[in-house]
Amino acid sequence: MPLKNKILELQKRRELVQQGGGEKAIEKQIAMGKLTARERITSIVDKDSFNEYDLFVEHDARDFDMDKVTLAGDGVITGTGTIYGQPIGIYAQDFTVAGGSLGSMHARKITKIMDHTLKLKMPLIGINDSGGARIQEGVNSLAGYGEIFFRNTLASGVIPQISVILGPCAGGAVYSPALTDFVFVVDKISKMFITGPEVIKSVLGEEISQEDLGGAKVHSAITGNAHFYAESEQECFEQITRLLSFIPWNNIKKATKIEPKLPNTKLKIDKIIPEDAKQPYDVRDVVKCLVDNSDFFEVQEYWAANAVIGFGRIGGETVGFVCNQPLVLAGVLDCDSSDKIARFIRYCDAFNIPIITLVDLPGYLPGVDQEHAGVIRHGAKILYSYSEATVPKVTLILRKAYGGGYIAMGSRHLRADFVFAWPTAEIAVMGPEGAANIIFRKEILAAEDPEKMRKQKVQEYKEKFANPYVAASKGYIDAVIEPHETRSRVIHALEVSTYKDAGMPRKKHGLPPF
Amino acid sequence: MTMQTKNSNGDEKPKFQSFTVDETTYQTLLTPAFEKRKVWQKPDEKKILSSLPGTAVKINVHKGDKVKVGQPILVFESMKMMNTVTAYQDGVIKEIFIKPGDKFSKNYLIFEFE
Repeated sequence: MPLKNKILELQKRRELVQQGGGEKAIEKQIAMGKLTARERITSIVDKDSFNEYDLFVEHDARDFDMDKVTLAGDGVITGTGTIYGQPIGIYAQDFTVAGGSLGSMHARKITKIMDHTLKLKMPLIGINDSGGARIQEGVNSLAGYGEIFFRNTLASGVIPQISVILGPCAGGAVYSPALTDFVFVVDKISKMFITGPEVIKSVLGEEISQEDLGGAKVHSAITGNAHFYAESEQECFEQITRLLSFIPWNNIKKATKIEPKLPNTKLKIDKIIPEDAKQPYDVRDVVKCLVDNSDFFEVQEYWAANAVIGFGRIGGETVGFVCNQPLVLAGVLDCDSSDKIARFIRYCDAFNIPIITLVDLPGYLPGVDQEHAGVIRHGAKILYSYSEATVPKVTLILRKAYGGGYIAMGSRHLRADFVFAWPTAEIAVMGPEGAANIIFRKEILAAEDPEKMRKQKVQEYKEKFANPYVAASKGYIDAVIEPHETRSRVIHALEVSTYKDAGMPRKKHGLPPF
Repeated sequence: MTMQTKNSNGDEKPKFQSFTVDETTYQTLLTPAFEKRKVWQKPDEKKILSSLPGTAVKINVHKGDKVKVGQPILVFESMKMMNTVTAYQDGVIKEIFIKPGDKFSKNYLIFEFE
């Protein structure tokens, strides 16, 4: 065969596989409002940077007449590319090929790119759009999932792992995203559940749509399984690249420091906290006054909104923010917000991102449901992750820091490097009303006018303890500062923490209260 | 998707509600999960609730029967298995709320003791 023909043959073979499941299947994909797997990859990576591998991989199933079926690329596209000129690994399941179902060769393509990605210390982006296990391949399909989960775990905390749910992701398949760092979902496209509506109906007789059971909104606002919610695939891709602009490429590197910029918000940091200590405010307004360009990238915005987490830059350096949100449930900690905070702290710690904690909480959410849901072990996760984190930790007490909440939220006692407080800070064992009722119970009961006495005692307690100066007198906080001094104080704290070297005792691994 | 919290500096005034922790009442937004909380009630030991969703297959007792602890009273299919429910107290069956073939959800009232 002449050389020219050999090249023609290659071109023909390539073209055939690149058509995926063929025109009809692609039309269907588009009709569902979805992009094709190939379009998704090229929309995420730098222009013309995608290099594909294993294009000619074919499945090896023989049962159920599968030997007569060819599946283009076995239903998944894998390769490397760049984002911001930096290397990444990526795969996208192709729903047009046998519903993106996962067989053993499909899984082997994914695990191969995962192995590359881990070895080359670059982020991995996995685009999920699959009907699930390829039933014809039986246990080989299950083996494939297992091999993926194992690698997700190996890579956890070494390279950033990003899961993008752009179609169904059901049954065992959901556990790969669950093991990764960040899950992106798109309205009306993403669907995640362990058992689908059909199974639920057959067992329970309950009828529920896929959307109501495990749609993008459900996972963004109710379950907390998703971290980023978008209205369209394009918006989702922008969120992915935005996330990658903040985080380092692996656990050995620090995030790239960029030119510092001043905050550019019209908000006045001295005027955010209301005069009346019982009135709410949006803690994100404080964050906007602190970060470069007032650019704050919130994570899990819609779930457990009584806590706010996310990334920003201060003086050009990426930091992770952990904040109580007085706007929602007065900023209390509960089971969900504890999980949200603890996991984010561990993310920042794994990837060398300093943690800035903004404290304003009345304590833990009271209630039988919380106690029975295990708020003790959930809340303990915060203590564990702050104590364990060895990245620079800077804590700022804005207003209330009462009781267990004071200890949990990045206190000096859990080895915060620098703890600052605003003059509005109230650091006490509990709120003035509760404390006065206990300490002065006898005086209040014995008084001629108990209510008047109670008010007087509450006021006394407030004046004496609802301030930052008792804690400051013990050195538990390092400085009481004016709000407008905060940014420069934090920048300095981060600068002097450059060579921080803190460790933990040798151990195989700790036992956080999962 | 928008959240109520988005309105903090917007045109619409968010509706703050009272929320008490440690005897102090704060003004804040409540979450749907918080608003849907159910008031806890002490479980009634006379009432047997299903521990799993499933389908009733065989009911071994009748209304008015005397049963002893450990006596099988119901077989139901759930999670691809046949499961047996045994009485966890001595007593008399006051009411049976299911019949063979019925599907029930978790925590469904299936028997009541006198």
